[in-house]
Amino acid sequence: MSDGSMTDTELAKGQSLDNTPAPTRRSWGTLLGFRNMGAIYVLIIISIFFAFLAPHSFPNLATAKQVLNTSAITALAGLALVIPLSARVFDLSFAYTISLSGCIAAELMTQSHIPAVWAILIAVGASVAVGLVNGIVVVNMKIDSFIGTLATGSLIQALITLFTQDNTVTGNQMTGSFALIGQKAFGGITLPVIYALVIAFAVWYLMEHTATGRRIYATGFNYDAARLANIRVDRIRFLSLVSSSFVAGIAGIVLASTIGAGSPTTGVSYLLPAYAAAFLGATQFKGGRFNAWGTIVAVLLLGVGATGLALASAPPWADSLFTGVVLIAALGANGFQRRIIRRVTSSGHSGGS
Amino acid sequence: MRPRRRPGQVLALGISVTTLLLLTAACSSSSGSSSSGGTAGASGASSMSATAAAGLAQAQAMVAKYTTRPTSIPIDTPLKATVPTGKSLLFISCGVSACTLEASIIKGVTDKLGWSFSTIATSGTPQSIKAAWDTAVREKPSAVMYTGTDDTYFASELATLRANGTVVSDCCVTGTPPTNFNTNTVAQNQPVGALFADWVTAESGGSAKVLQVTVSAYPTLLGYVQGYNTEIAKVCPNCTTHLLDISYPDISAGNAPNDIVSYLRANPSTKYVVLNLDSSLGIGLPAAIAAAGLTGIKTIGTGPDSTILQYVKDGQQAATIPFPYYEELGGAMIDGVLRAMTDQPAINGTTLSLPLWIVTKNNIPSTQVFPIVATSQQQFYKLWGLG
Repeated sequence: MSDGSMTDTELAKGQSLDNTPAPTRRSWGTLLGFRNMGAIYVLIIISIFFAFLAPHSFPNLATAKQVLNTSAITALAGLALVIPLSARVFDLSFAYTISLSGCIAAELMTQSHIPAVWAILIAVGASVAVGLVNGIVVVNMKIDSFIGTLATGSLIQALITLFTQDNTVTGNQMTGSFALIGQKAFGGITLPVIYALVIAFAVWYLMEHTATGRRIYATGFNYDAARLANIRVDRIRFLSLVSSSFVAGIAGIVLASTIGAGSPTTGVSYLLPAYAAAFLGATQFKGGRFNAWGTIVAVLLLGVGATGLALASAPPWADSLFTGVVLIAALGANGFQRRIIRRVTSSGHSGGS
Repeated sequence: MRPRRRPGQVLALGISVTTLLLLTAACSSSSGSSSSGGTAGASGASSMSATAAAGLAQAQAMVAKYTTRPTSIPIDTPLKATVPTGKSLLFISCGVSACTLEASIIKGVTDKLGWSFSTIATSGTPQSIKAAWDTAVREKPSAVMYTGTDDTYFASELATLRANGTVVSDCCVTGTPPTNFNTNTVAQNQPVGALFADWVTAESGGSAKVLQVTVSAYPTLLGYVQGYNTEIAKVCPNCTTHLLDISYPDISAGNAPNDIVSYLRANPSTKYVVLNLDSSLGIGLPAAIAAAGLTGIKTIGTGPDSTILQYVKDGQQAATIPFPYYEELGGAMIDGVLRAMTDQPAINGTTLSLPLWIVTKNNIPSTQVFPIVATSQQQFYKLWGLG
C-alpha cells in the first residue's frame, strides 16, 4: 500500500474508498430498522391494506405469483441499471436496447428463418455492441452519460424503425420453443422470475463479494479518489455500460418471448419503472448504494401496488399516483441518507483529529 | 443524533401520503361501471326466456353473417369524371404503427393514380402535429389526408389549406372538422360494438359475465361502448358487463394485461373479455392469463396488429374484428378527394357502412387478412375508371 493503491483482497473485504464507515457488525436493530429496509415494511403495510380492500382476491398465493410474474421483466430492466448507476453512469438507452434485442430476434426468426438460438445470440450480441458504442460515447468521447445515452437511445430507435417500419414483428416461429423462454411456468412461476433472480444473484455477488464490485462503488462515490487509488475508472465506467446493455438485451429476448412479438416501442415503457426501482432499491439494505436485492424489493413493492390497485378496482390514475409518490419518497429518503452519512463521516473525522 | 431519523421519517411520510391517497382513490371512485344486459324483472321467467332465446338467435345470426369475409366495398357510385393526373397528396401520420401501415396503403393508391405522395410523421404530440400542418401549408399539396387527430390543434392551418384550394380528407375523429370528406365517426363504430355484444351472447349461449376494456383517452372508442350497450340490452338480458377504463400511461407502461388479469382474478365468474383496441390492450394478455392460471377466458377485440392476428391464429385470442384500412384509407378517403377535385357530388362518409368481419382461428386466411374485402382495390379502381 505504499503507493496508495489498494489490493484486490483489501477491496473485496470491504475497505471503502469513500470514507463511508464499513457496514460491519451492525446491530440487528440497525439491520431491521425502517431506515435500512423500509420498503419491506411498506410492502407489508400495503399488503395488509389491500387485503382489507380486496379480501377475496388479494391475500392469496395466486396474487403473489401474479406479482412475481408481472414484475420479472421490470426487475431485469432495473437490475440492468444497478452496475452503471453504482459507477455513477446513467444509461437511458437500455430501454431502447430492450426493444432492439426483441425486434432483432423476431426479425431474424420470422423473416430470415434463422434458428431461435442463433437469433437470440445475434440479438444479445447486438445489445452488447450498443453497450460498446455507449462506452465510446460516454468514456472515450467524454460526453455526459445522461445526454450521451439519450442520444444513442434515439439512434437505436431510428435503427429499429428502419428495419421494422414501426410494425411489430411476429410469426409462427415466435410461438414454438421460443415462447417457452418467457411463458414456461413451474408451479405457477414463469421462467422470467428465475432469470431475474439469477441475474440479481450475479449482480449481488459481483458488487458485494468481488474487488471489481468495490471498484465500481468507489468509482461512483468519488471518481477522482478512485482514480488516484489506481482504479481504472474509465474502464469500469465503460464496462458498466456494456453490462447494462447485455442485461437489457436479455430482457428484450424475454419480453419478445412473453408477448410473442418484437415490438419497436415496448421497451421504452420500462424506462421509468426501472429507474424507479433502482433508485428506490438504493434506499434499501446498503445505505444509499444501488444494489440488486434492494432493486428486487423495490420492483416487488411497485408490483404489489399495481396489482393491489387493479384487484381493488382503483381508478385508472391511481397506479401512476402510486409510482410517482413512492419514487419521490424514495429519492427524498436516499438524498437525506447520503447527506447524513457525509455529516456523520465528517463529524467522525473532526472528532478524531 | 436527531438528523439520523430524517430518512426514515421522510420515507414514512411519503408512504403515509401514498397510502392515504390510494385509500381515497380506491374508495371514492371506481375504474369502471357495471351494467346489466337487459331489464330482467318480475314480468315472469317464461317471457324472459323467450326474450333471451330470441336475442340469442338474433346474435347467432349476426355472428354467422359476419364471420363470412365481406366482398363489397362501402361505395358503389362510379366517379363520372376522369381522374386528374399530376396531383400531390400529403399524408400526416399520427405516429403509431397503424399510421405507418396507412401511409403504405395510401402510397399504393397514389402510385396507381400517378400522383406524388409524401408523408409527415408526427410523434402524436400536439406540437408535432401542428408543426406537420405548418409544413403542409408551406408545401401546398393538392390534397391532405389525416387520421385520428383533433383539428383544434391545427384549425388555422386547415382553414388556410382549404382557402388555397387543397382538398382535405380525414377519418377517425370525434368532431366534424371542416374538411371535404370525413368518415369513421363514433356513430360508425357502433356496429362493431354491437357485434361484440352479439359475439359474447352467441358464445355464451345467452348468459355471460363480460369485461369490456376501453381507453377513454381515445374518444372514438366510445362508439364501441355505445354500440355494445345498446345491442347487449337487446340480445342478452342475462348478461352483465363491467367497463374497465385503462389510462394511457398504464397502456404505455405495459400494465394493461396485469390490470385485466387482476379484474378477472377478482371476478372469477367473468369469462368474456372485450378489448376496444386489442393492439394496445391485448399484447401480452394471453401470457398473463396463462401465468395467472385462469382458464376458459374468451377474448374478442378490434383493431388487431400482426401480433394479435398471430394470437388468433394460435387460438390464444378467440376473435378479432380488423380495421378496414384499405377500404377506408386507400378507398373511401381517396374517393372523397377525387370527387372533390372533379366537382362531383360528395358522398357522405359519415353514413357509410364500413365492412365488418369477425376473424377467428377457424376462418383466418392463411395469406393476408388485409384488405378485408380481398378485391377492394380493384373495386375502387373500377369505380374511378382505372380498370
